[in-house]
Order: sequence, then C-alpha cells, then structure tokens
Amino acid sequence: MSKLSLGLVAALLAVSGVSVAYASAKTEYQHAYQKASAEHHKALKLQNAWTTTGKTLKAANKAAAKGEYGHAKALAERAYKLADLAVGQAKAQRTAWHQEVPK
Amino acid sequence: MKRYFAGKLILAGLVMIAAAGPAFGSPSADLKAFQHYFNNRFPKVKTGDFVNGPYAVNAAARAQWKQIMQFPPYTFAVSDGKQLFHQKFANGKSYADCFAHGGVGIRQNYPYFDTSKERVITLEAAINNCRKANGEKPYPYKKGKIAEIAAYMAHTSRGKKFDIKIPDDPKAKAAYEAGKKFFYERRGQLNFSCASCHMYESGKHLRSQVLAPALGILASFPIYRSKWGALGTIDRRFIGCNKKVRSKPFKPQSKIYRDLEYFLTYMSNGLPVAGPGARP
Repeated sequence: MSKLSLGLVAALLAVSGVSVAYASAKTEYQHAYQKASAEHHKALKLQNAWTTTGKTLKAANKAAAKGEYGHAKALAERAYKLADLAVGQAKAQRTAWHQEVPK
Repeated sequence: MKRYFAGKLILAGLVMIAAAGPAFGSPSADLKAFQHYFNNRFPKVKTGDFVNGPYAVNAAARAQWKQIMQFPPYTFAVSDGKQLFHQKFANGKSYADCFAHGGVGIRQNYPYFDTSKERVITLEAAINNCRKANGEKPYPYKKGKIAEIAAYMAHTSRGKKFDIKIPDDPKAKAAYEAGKKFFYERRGQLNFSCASCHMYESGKHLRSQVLAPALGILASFPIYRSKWGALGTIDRRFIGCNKKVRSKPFKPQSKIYRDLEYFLTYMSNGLPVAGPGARP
C-alpha cells in the first residue's frame, strides 16, 4: 500500500472517530437535558420551581444549538442539580414551614 | 376494654392536635399571635401605624416619606382612577352597579371568599369581573388602569378598618391555610420565605431599603413605587418578591396569590385602609 493510501485511510478513520465522538456528546447532552427537564417539571408541579433552573436549561439549549455539546451537557447537569434541590426544598417545607409560625 | 380503647382514641387525637401545633391554629388565634409578634418587635409603634410599612419603623425613612407626601406621587393616578370608575360601559352601566355602596368605601372588605364560586375574590378580580359581566375586556392585573381604579376605590375607603371574614366553609378555610403555608414556607434558590424578610428581619435594611413589617403590608395597595415610576398592584409586588429569592413566580391572580392575599389581609384585620401608598 502506498504512503498516500495509508494517509487517506488514517484520515478517514480520524474523521469517523471525531463524528462518532460528536454524536456521542450530543446524545449525552440530550440525555442530561431530558433528565434535568423532567426534574424541573417535578419542581413546577410542586409549585416550587427556581428561576435559575429555567435560565440554566435555556443556556444549555443555546450551547447545544451552537454545537457546544460538552458545555451544554455541563449546564444541563447543573440544571438538574438546581431542580433536584428545588424538589427537595418543596418536600422539606411540607412540614418545616410550621416552625416559622409565631407562637 | 371499651374504656381502654376510648382512652387511646382520645390520647391519639390529643397527640395529633399537639403535633399540628400553631400551624393549624384557628384564624383568630393566628391573628392574635401575628399582631402580638409585631407589637413586641416594635413596642413603640402603634398597631394602626403599621399600615405605613417601613415608615412606621424607621425614623429616617419616615422623615423622607413625610416630605414626599406633601405632593403624593399617586395623586394623578387616583384622579384618573376616579374618572375611569365613573365612566359608563358601552351598555350604559358602570362599576358602581357591580359593587355594594356603589363601590365607595368598600376596600376594607376585600379580598373575600365567595362560597358560591369557591374562590377568593380580590378587589382587582372584582373590577375585572364587573367589566366582563358588562361586555368589556378585562384589564391586565399588574399595573395601569386596574391599579388606578383600585387606587381610587382604596382612597374612598381610607381609615376604614379591614374586616376580612373566613366563612364557616371548608374551602374558605383551605384557602386561608394555603395562603398561610405560602407565607411561611421557604422557597427559591435563596431559601427565603415571605416571613423571613417581612417578619423576622422586618425593620432591618436590605441594601438601602428598610424591610416592611408584614403586619399591614397590604393595607396601602395599590402602591406607587419610585422604582416602578408608577402604580402597581399586589400581584406585581408578589411577583417581584418571588423573583428576588429566585423562585419562579406565579401568574397574576393565580390561586396561590389570591390565597396569600386572603391570609395576609386577614392578618391586618382591625388596621385601617391606607391605600394608595408611596414606597421607594
């Protein structure tokens, strides 16, 4: 095999590797976004959503639209944490609010 | 044996009541404890003076406010509200036909629980209900004409004491309890409740602003805020407060805001109407 052919094969392998990694990053982002979105909906249902969660989800969406899936995934994961804390807060406050009532 | 079980049942009941604690106190007991809290916190302030919000508890702010009140910033809005209030609808009727006493001197009775509609009716909702009943489009709830009409109606009621009733109806009590829970529960990323600022930190500074005590806090609505440069309704304020603690706000006149207004205004029973008011 000539040097040129070897070079072409290597280039093709590299391109396909990149596109596989790109597709995988996109899938990972989509998965993280869906998870965060579902948790945010839980908080909304509990009437206790945080404004920061919605903003972070929007930012994740924007980054994904630019093809920055790594950054988008990190934002989606952050949104999930925020939503999860909001859900936890709502559950804790079901009884904790009693402590705030003056006696 | 029967006695033994009856005794157990009574004991279980007592334990449940004790566990429920003050959160499930009667509205009248809540009112007493609520007003007592503020009277203790600010012993020099007369109960009726709490309707002046931060100006009741901070001497410097009060001095500034007295100067502002020489030419109250809401004067034109009240006059516009009066004009709007007396304007006839296309069908020849007016707001006066929708309200008791022609809509004059009635602010102290709002919000109320409508047992037939099974919901809390705020003054702003009543204004829009009147419009809809007469074939007119409802106004947006946060500012503008609805705030002007409410300002005029409050102005005609100044000095009358709030007299919010909780009818003997489980749904009315549930609305009151929902409002009470919303007031005390912590929310948003900053983990604040309404009570965090307006009870336990009331009178203190949040940056340059003095936190208004919750007692009488709605008595001056609608208010002209210098920050807004215009009049705003209670809905506008609730939404602003929620946003500040990074909690997603609800829609104006949503059930939760109406219930909150119901609870909070009930807590001001006996205090005079002071609306419209001026705030920083």
